[in-house]
Amino acid sequence: MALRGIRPSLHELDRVNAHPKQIDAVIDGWMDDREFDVTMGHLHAETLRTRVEINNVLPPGPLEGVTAGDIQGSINEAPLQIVREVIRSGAPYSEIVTGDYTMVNVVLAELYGLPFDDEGPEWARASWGDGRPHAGLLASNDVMMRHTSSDTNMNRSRGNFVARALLCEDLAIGDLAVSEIDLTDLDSVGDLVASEPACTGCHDALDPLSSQFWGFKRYIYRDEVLDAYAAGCPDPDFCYPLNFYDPDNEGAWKAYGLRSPGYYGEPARDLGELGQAIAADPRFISCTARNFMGWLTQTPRMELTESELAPVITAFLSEDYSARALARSIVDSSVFQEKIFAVRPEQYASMVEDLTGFRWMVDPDLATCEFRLDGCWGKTDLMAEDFNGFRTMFGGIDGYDVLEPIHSTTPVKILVVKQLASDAAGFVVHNDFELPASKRRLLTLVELDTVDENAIRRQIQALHLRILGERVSAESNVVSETRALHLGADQPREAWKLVITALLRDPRSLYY
Amino acid sequence: MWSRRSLLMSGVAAALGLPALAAAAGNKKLVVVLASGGWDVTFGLDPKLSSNYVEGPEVFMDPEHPSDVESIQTYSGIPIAYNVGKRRKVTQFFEDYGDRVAVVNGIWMGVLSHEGGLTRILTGARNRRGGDLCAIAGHSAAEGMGYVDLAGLGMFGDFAATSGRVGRRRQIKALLDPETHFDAPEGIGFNYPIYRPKPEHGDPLREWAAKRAERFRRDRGVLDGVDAAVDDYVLSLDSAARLQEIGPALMQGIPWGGDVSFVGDVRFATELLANDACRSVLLTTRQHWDTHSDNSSQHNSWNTTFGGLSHLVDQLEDKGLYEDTVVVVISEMTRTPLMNVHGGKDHWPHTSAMLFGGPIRGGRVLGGTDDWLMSRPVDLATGQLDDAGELLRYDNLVAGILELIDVDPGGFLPSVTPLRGLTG
Repeated sequence: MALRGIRPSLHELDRVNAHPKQIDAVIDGWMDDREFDVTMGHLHAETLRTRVEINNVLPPGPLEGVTAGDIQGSINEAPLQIVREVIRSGAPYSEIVTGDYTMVNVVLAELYGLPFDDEGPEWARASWGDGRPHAGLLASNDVMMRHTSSDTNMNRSRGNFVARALLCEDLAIGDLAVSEIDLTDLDSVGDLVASEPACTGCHDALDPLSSQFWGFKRYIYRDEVLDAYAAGCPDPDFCYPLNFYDPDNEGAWKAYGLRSPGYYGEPARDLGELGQAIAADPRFISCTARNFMGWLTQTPRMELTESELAPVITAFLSEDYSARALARSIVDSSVFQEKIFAVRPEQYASMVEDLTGFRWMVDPDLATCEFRLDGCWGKTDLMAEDFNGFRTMFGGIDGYDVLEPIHSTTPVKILVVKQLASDAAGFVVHNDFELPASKRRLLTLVELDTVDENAIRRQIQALHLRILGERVSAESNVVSETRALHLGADQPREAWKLVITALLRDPRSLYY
Repeated sequence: MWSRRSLLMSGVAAALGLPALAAAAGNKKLVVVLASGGWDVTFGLDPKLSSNYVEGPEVFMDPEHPSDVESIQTYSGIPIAYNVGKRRKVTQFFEDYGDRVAVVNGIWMGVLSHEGGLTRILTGARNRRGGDLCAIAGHSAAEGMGYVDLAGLGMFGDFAATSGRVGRRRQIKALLDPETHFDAPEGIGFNYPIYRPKPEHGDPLREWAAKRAERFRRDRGVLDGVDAAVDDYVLSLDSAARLQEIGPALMQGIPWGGDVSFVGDVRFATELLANDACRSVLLTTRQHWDTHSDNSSQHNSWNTTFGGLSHLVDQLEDKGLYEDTVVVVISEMTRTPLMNVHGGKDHWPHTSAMLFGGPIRGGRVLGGTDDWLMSRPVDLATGQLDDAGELLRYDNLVAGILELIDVDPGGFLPSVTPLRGLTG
């Protein structure tokens, strides 16, 4: 579950049951699965805080067939796609800050005016082509649209994004000692960050990082795009394709008397050199290990000890910054193997889909939305977002306000599970009994008219194994208790829906 | 079998080094209203019209409109920045309820970021592990969920199993009201709900799940975290069932989707409290307070917020909740004394709070700031300014609020002196 967000297949369970030593080979195989690639996206969504639906959603404007949800979803995923591409390609992980490409889909290609092959894969590499340095995530419009800065904060939120996400040094939450500063000389207040010892501790690091990002616009607001289209686009900067980066503006920090771009006292003249400096920084290595291990072991990353991190850092370095080697060493560690973990919303949704074929998709504005300039939200995966969905209600983060996941069961999480489990059960029971047994997902051993007790018990036994990974005998009390539930329903179809609903609500479905 | 809650409420908790709840937590309810983004207190609770070093609402006075005048009016001993044209609802609130209100000025936050400030003002700590004060209050509730976060900004910490969110657009309605459901996308071949167990299957399902939970505890007991996981699971099953029982009545008239408003939140919050669905609620004012550009929009935010607060007082009284409820209105920071070049104001690591409700002794101001809008020392035992006293910090305030609702703050914020002087 941790590496792929889905249950092992029956074949994998049988293989390991027969030959326990084959577990290593099975896990190695999982690291090549698409689901591991998807998991890497989930992990980095928490670190980079890029999956956000609640702040400044850009409108579709004249983009045909595109919804507001499509645009926000694409912007949210693009940084994660860069990371996934690095990991998928087997390149050193440091390429996330040095790579010479971004990732686009058909929506972003229109949004930014980048080339894209409609016949190719859903996401593809693209080059910015506007002269910005090669710096992977650091050169990404999508990262910088998420981490905007106010007119007066001089890109410091972007500087702190680098420090927090990539170096595990959050410069924004430290204590201030401003109460001891003499503010009677008001003319000097603006210089405090450069001269006052209580301020310079952080600003000496933060401000040169922040000065790297002046090539980006500070932000583009939704209303600016709407107003621009309403006025016939007199300023093309706010009509699609958006111009979010201007190399000519990279030196604008000078006009504000800010510190020159740099990296913790070392020279780093532009984003390209910043990426290289980060890649060479031991803090980046240990922070990467913290980010991975924190997510996979559901431990706040700063609470991990050096001794817990040391072996996984060794594995990471010995395999040339391999994210796969890092993840593998973490799941092999005692920190991972001695705990249980709560499923995250994305994992639960994937697991249910893998088992039943059901994804909780809705159209929240189906009844009310006509095409408008500001756009309909469009199809929504209820477990993957918060504008309409249940992600944070299940314990996930929203990347903006809710920044720490909840790893315990809560009453609201149970409410979400109850509804998703019953819809998925209804879906799979209906579909399975429409198909021949060999093509079914779960109900492979019974028909609607099956009354043979042994057959029913064997089916329940199989469901425990497939849904929960729980190996029990058909004569066991476990099966008897579930059979009692089954007997409580009037009709066979209802009975199987009830059983599958129950199994999807089981503690083993919520913890692994 | 000890549940986590019964364990926490017992002396065993102290022996295990866990945070202890008050031995006999009272029935007082807690409503926290968050002006998230950073309000400019000079527009209301901490007027500075006489300061040469602070640019407050007076800089936006329009000479073309002689009625647009800023002044300071005192209500039941509380000086308030007054402009009846632009902030009429603030005036109305203090005219109606000033004698019930306590204002706390000059709270030292010690941080300039929203994230850091929110953490401190809600938890009294510099990290979120311990949960916010609503989570602490909610965990000591007799039954049910305990804490409902309508703001989406709550920090549940160790008390997640008794806390819950409801969704930005009140999505919880789709989980509690059987008449409300999402539509499936067109062409998908089905619509929702696809299947719901019949009501008579509810108890068998819950009993089956409880047995399964104990089996899970036995099977996986060697792994770290199993006991807590099972306890949370069982507790949440019960709480969820109770929510579903009262859900249809609770959600009646609560809108789903679309824009949500502070007044709507107030209504929902008081319904939750009146139905004993929880003990504590976190709301936001739903105003844009982070005015780095155009600080004049603080006028509207103050006005709209105080309209909602008047509604909150009325709702609490109508539902018979007022006497046993503490309402705290706070923000993670205030704004700089001076304007920036964009006509806005930036972050300033001091703030104010306003409290009302049955336990609060109204008509008083605790703490204060100097002419540069910086916190002044107080006597924490009385809240009165005292040059020989201490800085009034965010943690003193949070500890003081916990005391107001009969929760011993010592188990959560050890070695923090609670701010007193709000009652009596």
